[in-house]
Amino acid sequence: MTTNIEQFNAHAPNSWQQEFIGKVVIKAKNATLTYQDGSEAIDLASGGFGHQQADITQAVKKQVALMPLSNRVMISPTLAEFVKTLDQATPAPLSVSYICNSGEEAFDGSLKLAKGLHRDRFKVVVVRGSDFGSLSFASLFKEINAPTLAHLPLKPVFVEANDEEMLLRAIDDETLAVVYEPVLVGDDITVLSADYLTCMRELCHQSQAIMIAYEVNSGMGRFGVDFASELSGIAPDTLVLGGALNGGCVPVGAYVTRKAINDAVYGDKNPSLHGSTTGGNPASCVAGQKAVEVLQSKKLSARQSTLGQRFSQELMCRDKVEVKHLGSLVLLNFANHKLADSFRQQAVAAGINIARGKENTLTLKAPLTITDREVDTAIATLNQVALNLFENKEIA
Amino acid sequence: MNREQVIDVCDNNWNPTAATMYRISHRTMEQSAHGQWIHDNEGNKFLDFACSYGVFIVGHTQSYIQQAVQKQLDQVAIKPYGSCDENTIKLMAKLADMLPGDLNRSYFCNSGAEAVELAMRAAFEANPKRKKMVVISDSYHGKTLGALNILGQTGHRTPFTPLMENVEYVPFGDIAAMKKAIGDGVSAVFIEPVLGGPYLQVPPAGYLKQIECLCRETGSLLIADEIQTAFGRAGKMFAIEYDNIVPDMIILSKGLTGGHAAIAVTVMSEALERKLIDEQGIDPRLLTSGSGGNPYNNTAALAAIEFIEQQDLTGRAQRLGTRLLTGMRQVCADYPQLVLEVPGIGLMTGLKCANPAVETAITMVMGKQNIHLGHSMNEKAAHPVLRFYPPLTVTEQEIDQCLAALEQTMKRLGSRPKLMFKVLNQLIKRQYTLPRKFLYKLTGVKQAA
Repeated sequence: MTTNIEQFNAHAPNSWQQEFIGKVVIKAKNATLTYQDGSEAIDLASGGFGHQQADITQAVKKQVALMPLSNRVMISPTLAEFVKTLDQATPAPLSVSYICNSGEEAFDGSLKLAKGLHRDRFKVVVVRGSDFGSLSFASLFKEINAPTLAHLPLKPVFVEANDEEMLLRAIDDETLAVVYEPVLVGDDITVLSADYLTCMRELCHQSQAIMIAYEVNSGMGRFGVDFASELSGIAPDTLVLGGALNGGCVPVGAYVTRKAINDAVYGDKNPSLHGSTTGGNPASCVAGQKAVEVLQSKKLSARQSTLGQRFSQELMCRDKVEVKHLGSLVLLNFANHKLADSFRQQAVAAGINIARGKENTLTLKAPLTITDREVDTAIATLNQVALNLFENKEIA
Repeated sequence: MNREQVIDVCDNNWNPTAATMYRISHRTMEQSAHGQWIHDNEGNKFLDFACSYGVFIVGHTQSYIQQAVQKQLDQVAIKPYGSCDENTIKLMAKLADMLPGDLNRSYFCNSGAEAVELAMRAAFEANPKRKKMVVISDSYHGKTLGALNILGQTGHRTPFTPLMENVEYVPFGDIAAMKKAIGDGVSAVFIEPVLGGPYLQVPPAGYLKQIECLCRETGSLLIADEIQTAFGRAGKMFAIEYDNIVPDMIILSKGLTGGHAAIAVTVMSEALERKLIDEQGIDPRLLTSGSGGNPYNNTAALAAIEFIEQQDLTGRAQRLGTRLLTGMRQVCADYPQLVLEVPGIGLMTGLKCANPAVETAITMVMGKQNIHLGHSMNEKAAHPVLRFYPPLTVTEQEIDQCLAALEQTMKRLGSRPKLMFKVLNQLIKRQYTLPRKFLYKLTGVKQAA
């Protein structure tokens, strides 16, 4: 009889196979995953909102029973409720949302908005090291080594984080948009400074280029504030959301922009120019709306800072590994790649999932709703892994 | 929020022209849906022959799929990094089993446009020396800025042009034009096996096979976009079965979850994936979706496919499609000034209207009889096809109900002077730029927003 694992290997795409840990998940709650073989793991790889948040799951289940997707002929109250919530939750002057199926689509949509505003501009200034998701322009802006991406019509010009001189040289009247993550996570955690973003803001104002903040990773509380743009106090023209906006339940993406920009591009156009088959469907809008409500009512943003401090202070590998954090995102810098990968493999074997790292670095991304007990278990297990790795002691 | 408040929010925080459209067409708010029927907040119910252009292929909130997704929502809804759930694995195996040849690698995405973009990147990487894509004029492959590069429908593309060069558009069904465009070989040919959207057109027999031969001869990739046609809509599980072709990639979406979740999948042939990985050394990040492939969505898809097979809905689409199409042709035969043609195959049917005003008028009059049709909202199309896409679970009685309403509608509209539709058409072409107050007055909207 063919096993699940054999079937997975026969049909799963290469990208999934590369990260597969050989387990079939049957249940998940907050950060704890239960597998088909009866084992459990704590997920520090996926980030996201966290699984089975009761308020969200119940609301989504109710909506799914009534009407999961819109017929798109009639008015959608769930969509209206969600865009109203996003208007209130995001920094002023952002007020108009485009709701779609994923953060990836939302980023693409933000570029489309900019292209609609400046049809004859092709240059996009990109803050190097940002993540923009997995669609075509995102791949181009992430500098994935694929010459064929040059076929695409937008042309990136890369600038370094917090280098105002480079911004001054790069942003001009041919610039369509400037795209960035407010916090860059690589072999360090880099927060774009208020001065740098003020400079960007002014240059975008002069050139009419659209300032696009990609907050699929940083939005929804990850760095101790609801949106990382709040760290500098500089609001973009367009804020891109996704990821944890799904409430651990139904994927959803959105960008929120200024009304003047939206009206200039879509204000007198056929409404179908600006929508999709399933974008803004009721189930996803309920998931997104509830995710924002829970973020605020349970003060998840403030809690992320506490979580990050706990990991930072309680992980017992300080002399061997450099530990940094911002919010609940924790960065572990090892002496070399081999050590980092051994740590990851042993952690996974011990039931703590960590994503593959780059170079000598591993990133711990707990779900926003990870429980204190799960954090206790994760830290204790990782300390055992460190002890075993650095002092060759057996894992208890 | 009441209806007016909801429309105000749509106006201020979402899509201003959609808000205007809701007002002037006197739309109500959707509340729930079951089977072929949609219920609004005012106690009305509507027969759904629009199906969101094919999404609700087994009707709304179908109980077999509901059971499966409600159970899954209680377990795990979002895919965790590094693992996979049982239903996703079963779905991948099921798709491989259903599809011809070695189409057996499922690349999951969140939407058709995302899946189209993935296919586009794969095609470019498979043969990096080739830059040209061949696409059908008036085809539809999604509206992300990436997918717009190969979108045939100019109305959606023009506001964002110039876009990617080296894209050639050829008329559907014209094999000589296709041969000329492919020449010695291109990167890829994108084809909808039945041209969808407001340009609904069934190809001549053998057309798809000829394209497949041209692609094989020249080493060009063939990409079948079955987003609108698959899972029985066109009377076969996949429309490529009409000519027994095996594309290098097939893109599936709309009907895949039986109207339960956003999903799309690009299924790639084993040979192409091997070429990309072993020969081209492609970076796997180019062929992935950061958030696609979730247990909730895939559970819905697996249950929907099982239901379609169990109920033989493809056979049902053929049988009832014949009944619907024959009836539509009979009703419209007396009104050549309004309906030019009645194209269709399976339950993928429509009325090719004289102009967008006629399409709008038929939609509105049918709407007053509580029947929703698939209005194209495409005022750029000279002769838009008003789509009749009922769920494959539609009953003979419901088809007859729709045909009776159509007969009443055509009688009513057929008595109007031709000039009225010409004038109305000029209005429709400009409707989004006209002052709101004028539109409200014209359509009897009482409040002055």
